[in-house]
Amino acid sequence: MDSRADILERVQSIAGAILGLPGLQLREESTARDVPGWDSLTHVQIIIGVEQAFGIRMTATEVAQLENAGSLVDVVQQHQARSSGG
Amino acid sequence: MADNLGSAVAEIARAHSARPAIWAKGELLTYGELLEKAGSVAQALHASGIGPGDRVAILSERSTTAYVAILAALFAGAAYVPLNVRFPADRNRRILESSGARAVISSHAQAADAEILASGVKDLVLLISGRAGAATRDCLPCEAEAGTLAYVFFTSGTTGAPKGVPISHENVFAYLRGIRTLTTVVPDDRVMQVVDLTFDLSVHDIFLAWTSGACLYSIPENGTLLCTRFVEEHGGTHWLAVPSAAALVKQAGLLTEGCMPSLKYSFFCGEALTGGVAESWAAAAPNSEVFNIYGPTEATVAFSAFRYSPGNAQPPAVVSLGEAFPEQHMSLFTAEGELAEDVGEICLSGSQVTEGYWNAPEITAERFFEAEGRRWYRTGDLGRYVPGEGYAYLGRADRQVKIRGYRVELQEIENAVRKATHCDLAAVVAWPLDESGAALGCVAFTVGGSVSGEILESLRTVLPDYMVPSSIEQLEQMPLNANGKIDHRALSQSLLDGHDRDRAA
Repeated sequence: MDSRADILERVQSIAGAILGLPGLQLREESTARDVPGWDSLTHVQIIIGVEQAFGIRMTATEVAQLENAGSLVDVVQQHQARSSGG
Repeated sequence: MADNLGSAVAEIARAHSARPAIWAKGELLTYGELLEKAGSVAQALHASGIGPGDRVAILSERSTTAYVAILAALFAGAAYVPLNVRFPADRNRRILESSGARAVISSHAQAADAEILASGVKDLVLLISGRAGAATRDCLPCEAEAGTLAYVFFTSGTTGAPKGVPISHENVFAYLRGIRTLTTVVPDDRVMQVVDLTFDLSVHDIFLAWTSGACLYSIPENGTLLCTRFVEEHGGTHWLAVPSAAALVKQAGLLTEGCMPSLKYSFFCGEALTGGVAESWAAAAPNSEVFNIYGPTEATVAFSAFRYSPGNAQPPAVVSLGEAFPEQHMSLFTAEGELAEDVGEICLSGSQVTEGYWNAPEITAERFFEAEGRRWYRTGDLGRYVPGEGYAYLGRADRQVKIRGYRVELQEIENAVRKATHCDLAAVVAWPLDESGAALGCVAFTVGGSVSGEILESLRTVLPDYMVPSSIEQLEQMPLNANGKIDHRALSQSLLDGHDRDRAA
């Protein structure tokens, strides 16, 4: 299972690419409101980007409960833990 | 069935107490739990002296708290006034004061904002969800007298302040009778709740589900574009949203064929439905009937309907508004109040129509008139009647537009721009427009005064984001039409010409 920092860094580069902000820095507490251009359309694109990069598919409940970048990391870790059986 | 929404829902809830009632942000409440929680909050309202005839404001994100609060207000005999957590505090405060609400129910997450909001208003009771005590057994919803209000919703007003539309329990029951001529809802059904709770399409979702024993599924605010996934995952059977939502999903490539096999009834309302979107939706939901329904907040959710038949090689540019529900009356009138022969203003009369605007007798006098032995409401929509199809929408008679599905009076934005820039003249036009003519935003033009990045940002503290102009252009002179009034069409044309020039460059 990847470390939180590694996952966050990958999420950061995915979001940066989608938002056209190559130098984007995300903290665990970063929310859509903190980042210019992170609106409902780019939010979905970022979710799909994260799903594709990590080979996961989020449930409706998981999507509904996303609060900040840290939640994205949580969901990725939960899926990785499940698929590795531990 | 009871004559009071609270009682009607309570009756259903007791009969189906183990069944799911509401899913929101991953939390599920059964009807029994919903009844208990709403009863508990209603009791707290009673204890604070809130009762029949009062208004209760609600400030909450779309968690179960919001839905419980709505039911609690009704149980207490009050009308609910939903506030939008994404509106600037100033706007919410004005709505709160205008409504005369004596209580605010807030979710835990909004508690800090609610406290600030409440601090400016005298004698306002603030209930933070989660802090209410347990309900006693005998907390029954109050009986409603004729004319008792169920809710007061605020919409954009031309004078610069949002205007309130009071809707009674009878209005809502009349709507439910009307919509039930088109759809059945059974306890096993799952009704998707897509729009903001400040938008009356949510009234359809909530009360259609809760007077049928079905489960309401609230799609989270940031999840609209993933709605097809929500529908598929939860097996949604009923859908109501603005056409923009479907168009956005289609543009994002997520409205794929057959992706929502569980849908049985799809309704669209609130703005023009293009044939293209209707066809794509019908293909994505092959087991669903598709309806275009029409009606302003003033006439309780929707007033007329058209059943769309998909599979058109050449879909219509805009889908018909159809015919009025059986108990209601729809006609075309001229500005002078006479029946129009061809094109006229769509006017509505019947048990779904509001008595008048909230504390606004002048605006009410402007929009209501007597003719043909009935009282009519002027919608401001122009239409023509097509035999066999119903009413065709031909545009607005005024400067009200829909921006991303939201109803907006351009004058309200102009007022805000005037105050912020101290200009001599201000004009706001909807821009850019998509292929159906729906607006995605707006642009402001001013003469005189000053404009800066800070001034534009300051508009965000008084206007919801969809009403904030993307830019303010300063002009030497405002184009005027033959009547000496600002020529808004010339301004729109200049944007179009500039756009074409940029594309050609």
